[in-house]
Amino acid sequence: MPTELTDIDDVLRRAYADLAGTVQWQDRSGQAPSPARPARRRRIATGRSARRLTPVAAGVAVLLVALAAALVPAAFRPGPQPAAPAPRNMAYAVAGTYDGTGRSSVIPIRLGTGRALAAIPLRGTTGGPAGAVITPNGRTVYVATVHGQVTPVNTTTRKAGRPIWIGGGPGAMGSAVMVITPDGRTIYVLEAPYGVAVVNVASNTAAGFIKIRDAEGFVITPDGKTLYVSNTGGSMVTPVDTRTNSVLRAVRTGLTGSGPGRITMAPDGKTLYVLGERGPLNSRRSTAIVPIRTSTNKALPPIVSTSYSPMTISPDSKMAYQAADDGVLPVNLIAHTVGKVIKLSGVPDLGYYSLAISPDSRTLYVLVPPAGDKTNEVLRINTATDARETPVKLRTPASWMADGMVPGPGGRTLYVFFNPGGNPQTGSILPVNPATGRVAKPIRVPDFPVYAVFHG
Amino acid sequence: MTDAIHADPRRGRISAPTVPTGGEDPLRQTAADAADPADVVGLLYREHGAALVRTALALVGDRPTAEDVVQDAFAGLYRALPRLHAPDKALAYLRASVVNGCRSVHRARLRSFSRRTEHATEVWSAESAALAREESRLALQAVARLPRRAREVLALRYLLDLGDAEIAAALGVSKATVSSTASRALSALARQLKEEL
Repeated sequence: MPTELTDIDDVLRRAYADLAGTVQWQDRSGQAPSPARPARRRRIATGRSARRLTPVAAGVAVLLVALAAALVPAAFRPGPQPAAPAPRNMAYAVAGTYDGTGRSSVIPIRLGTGRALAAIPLRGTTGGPAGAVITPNGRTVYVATVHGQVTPVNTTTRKAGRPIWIGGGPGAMGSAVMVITPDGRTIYVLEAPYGVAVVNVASNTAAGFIKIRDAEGFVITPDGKTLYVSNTGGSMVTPVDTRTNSVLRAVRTGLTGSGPGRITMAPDGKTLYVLGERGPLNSRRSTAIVPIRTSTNKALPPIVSTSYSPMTISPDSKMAYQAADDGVLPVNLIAHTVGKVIKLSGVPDLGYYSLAISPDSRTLYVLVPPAGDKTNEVLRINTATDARETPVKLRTPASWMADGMVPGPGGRTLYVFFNPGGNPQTGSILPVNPATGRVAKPIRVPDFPVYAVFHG
Repeated sequence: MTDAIHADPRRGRISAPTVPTGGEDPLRQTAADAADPADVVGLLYREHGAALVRTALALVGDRPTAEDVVQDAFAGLYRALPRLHAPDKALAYLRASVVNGCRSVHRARLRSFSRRTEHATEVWSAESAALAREESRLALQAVARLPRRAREVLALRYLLDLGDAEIAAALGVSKATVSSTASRALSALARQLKEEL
């Protein structure tokens, strides 16, 4: 009779073994199941050979377009028409799935009321969304999919246009895959590892491809004049003149790693930072941040860091923060020194934190995942004293794990993304005002929310 | 420029500089070294998919739901990978999301109870012939009557062979809570099963 605890231990051991025995595991060709198995980036069949033809093809296309434009009477020409002003105070969330269906949609959200309008499905795209940009006038949202289609979505009519094929996919997700020039004329889409695809906004066409070997990440200067592309390991940063889309002389950073060459632009546009590893190959290498002055395109001596997580730079461009193993690592960008890790004790370390900084650079916000029955929290850290203030509790169900956050227009509201899963898939976006601690009602969106762009 | 082995730029997209973990878990090394996020997820799935499905099965009772939960957890991991600063945390992340997923299932079932939705038969129910031993069926039925945390602790302990510290990490509670929950659960089971076995 199992009256003793050791007996009950044996009974349980056998019972769980029986239960485990009911799951016979056929290793389905060693692959994770389809939704878990992300859409692998598919290259178009012609691959790199086609890319070599691109300049020629582009030239021919430009000639044909010019010829057609000359023949079509001006009245029928597509182009800038006096359109109604774009709706203001809007967010456009991009959501989708990454299984065989590979849906993508754009969900317009009225920021004033926090109400989501009907989702705008993208047609003819595959692979799920990777990122998005919005034109400065707020009229069009462009969504790139992981398979490399860019779809314009008209925010006034709320209709998606035809996808523009740019070749391969961006090879990344979120904020780092697309940029738009401040004049709203050109969109650049990262196509790791081959280079950067160019999309012409006026004509909604692919307008060329800038070949950069081992392209890994990119940033654009706030004035939009130069695009900086980092390569794998961050050993080189290639500036691209956006007026001519020509490649300028590459900047050597002295980094030698083989991990991602993470590149971040300071908000003031004076300096960009490349994060990678340095030291001789085949030995213990240290993580380093190499600052590059955008005025001279010269690399400065590296700042030795202890974290390889992406940098979040404060709006005043003085400090950067990186998620580290047991907290957040402050990096002083004026003195070029690394501070002491701000410990986040009592917070579960599931390996990721999302960071954001208040518009006045005084408070660092850290989104931490839920611990057990606790809820997701946004920690508030005073950047002057590194002291923790009362966190904002998001009061979401315990099973909701926050996926990340995007600051809204002006940086006053943080939009926290949740993918609670379930069938059918629905996600939620939770607007949080971290200064007042006010948490609005969650905004439901179909599928997985990935990213959001704003028109304030 | 990088050497040929490292030519794929996606290599190490998630990898923080890998500090040797002492070699106690070869998979951690492999997961961190794998080339592509997809490969990392695939590798973890091959190594841990079965155990996680079994754990989810112990918590939700039926296999299709258990597989859904685990699938969602892997999908979540794939999306979290670019933000994961420590690749060796991927497994901890997976365990926590499986436990969370199972809690969601229970919550959804509570809601659907009022709508009289039918869900799949639990493996330990009398209608199911899945379990070989009657003793196991009775034991698991008794486990199913325990409080949620006790069920979670037992499943993680017996099916994933985790120590109290790892269970505590997966459930987001303290180590002391795990051991007291476990010992209370065992005595409760001993009491209940005394009459039945």
